Amino acid sequence: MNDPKQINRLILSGGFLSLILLFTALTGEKTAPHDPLSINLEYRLLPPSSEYLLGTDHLGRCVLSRIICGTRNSLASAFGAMSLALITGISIGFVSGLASRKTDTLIMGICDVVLAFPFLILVLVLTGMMGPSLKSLIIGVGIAGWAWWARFVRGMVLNAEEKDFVRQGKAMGLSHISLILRYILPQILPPLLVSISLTTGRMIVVISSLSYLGLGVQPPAPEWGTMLKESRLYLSSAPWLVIAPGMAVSLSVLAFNLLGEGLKDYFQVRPIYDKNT
Amino acid sequence: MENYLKKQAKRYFPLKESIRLGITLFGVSLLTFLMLEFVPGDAAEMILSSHNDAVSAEKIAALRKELGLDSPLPIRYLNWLRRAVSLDLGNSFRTGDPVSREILNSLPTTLTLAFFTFLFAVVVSVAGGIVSAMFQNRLPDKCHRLWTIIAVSVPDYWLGLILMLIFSLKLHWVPVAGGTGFRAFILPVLTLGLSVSASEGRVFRASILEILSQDYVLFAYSKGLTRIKVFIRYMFKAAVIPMISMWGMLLGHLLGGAVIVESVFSLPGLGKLAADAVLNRDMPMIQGTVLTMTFFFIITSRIMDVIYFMLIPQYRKT
Repeated sequence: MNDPKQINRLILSGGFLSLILLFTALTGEKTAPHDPLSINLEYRLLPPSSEYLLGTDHLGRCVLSRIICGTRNSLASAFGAMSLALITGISIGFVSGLASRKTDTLIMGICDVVLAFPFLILVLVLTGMMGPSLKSLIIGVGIAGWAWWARFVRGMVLNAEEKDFVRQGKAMGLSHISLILRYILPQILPPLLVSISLTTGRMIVVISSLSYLGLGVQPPAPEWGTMLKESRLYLSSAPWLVIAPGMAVSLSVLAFNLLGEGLKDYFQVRPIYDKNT
Repeated sequence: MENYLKKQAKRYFPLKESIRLGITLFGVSLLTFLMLEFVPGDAAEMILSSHNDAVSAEKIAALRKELGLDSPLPIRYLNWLRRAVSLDLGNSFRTGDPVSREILNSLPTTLTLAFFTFLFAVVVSVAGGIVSAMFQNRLPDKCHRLWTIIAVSVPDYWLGLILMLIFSLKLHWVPVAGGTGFRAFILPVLTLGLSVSASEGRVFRASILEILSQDYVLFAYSKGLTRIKVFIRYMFKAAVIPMISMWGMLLGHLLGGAVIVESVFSLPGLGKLAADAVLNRDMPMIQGTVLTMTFFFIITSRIMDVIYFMLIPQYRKT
């Protein structure tokens, strides 16, 4: 772990994979060889060939094109859900860490309640209630996920506040905001970055899992989890339909996990364990 | 470390802790109740529209009165809570059966799955942790780390499908989803176990490495004990203690039903019950399953916390 070459290798490979993903998500339709939505029943369930590199699905649609175009849906929803939970959680965490004891107890009590639910169940129910769609899935993950970040940031802020230079800053009469920006944020940034990277990977899994159950992106729009749900019935006759989207999910999660592990080594951050893993 | 333990021990002062647990349980019940209040259409409409097509406004109003849906929100919550405490969770909109009975019927499946997965995860993570700690930064350790990153990255439902493809459809070793008996649990346990045990192995490794540098371990070595004896007598127990709370959380999660894996393998457990209820918008069933899962989740982590404190010698008396 102290081997600097390995540190670079993890970050580099993770970063490289993430860049490919980003590129695919941004270019989408332009790089796809076929229209991901065009149905052609003559060519249904074809095995991989030179024309259709990953074969075709039960409606004769090109699997490769659907995976490429699905990148945007899958990644954007993971990022959206993540940012929603992150921004809410971090702001509440800062408030809780710097506020009076009463406010702090109240906020942490609410966090206790939210964290008492198993994460996936809470997301499942919230999304189900709002009606299955990408939007409700993102909001559901946001509502279920903020509490973890709030508690995480609060703990870090309380830790940072104990440091002498933060006390000095306080004594100098700095406002809360400049105290956070100049003294506290730089300290908590490394563990935060590691957590963000690792959690993004987990969010991709959560979102594709719920899409697999039928709660996320609705067909015919391409999304990896939804594609797996549709192709499950053809598991024995057309296994490529199941293998390809799953590989796409695994690779993108792998990208963020490698990045997170690499950053963890780089910053020498002690491991942070998520309640929900 | 000493300071941290003291802080923790303070947290486990029983009265304060029970009050906090009570407040959390209250919050959980309130949130579960409120979540379904915001759904358009209430129970009366749902029940009537599932029975016959023509629904008159009078009929809805009458049923609403009968179900007590016309009383104000706090009263309705208290009524619901009173019934829930006596395990009356209402009837499923879909089947008409009592929710509590359906939950009870799903428990054997979930408990079996949870028990074997837990066993599998503990054995694999302990073995992986020991091997990677003993060969720290050498090849087995690096392989273990790589394996962990891969195992964490592969989503469990896809792993399930792939295992099903290989072992059921190609090799015909185990029945495809829906079989009965112990054989039906082999693939689900393998799927869940592989995905949860990976990261725990890393934690156990870190825990062993921390103890490796303690004075008493050095002392035991200098007495001339062999590596294995030192490990079994002095290190194992100390290294396991930090794992207890992680295993507690894991068990809580498993008891709450593996929603995804149960759905993939069509195992009729608590998780599948919850997923189906959400997809069918079966409100009483959703409330019932969520309450049951959350209850298991909270209770298991509390019990594990207590065990954790009983295992730390300094606080055994408190």
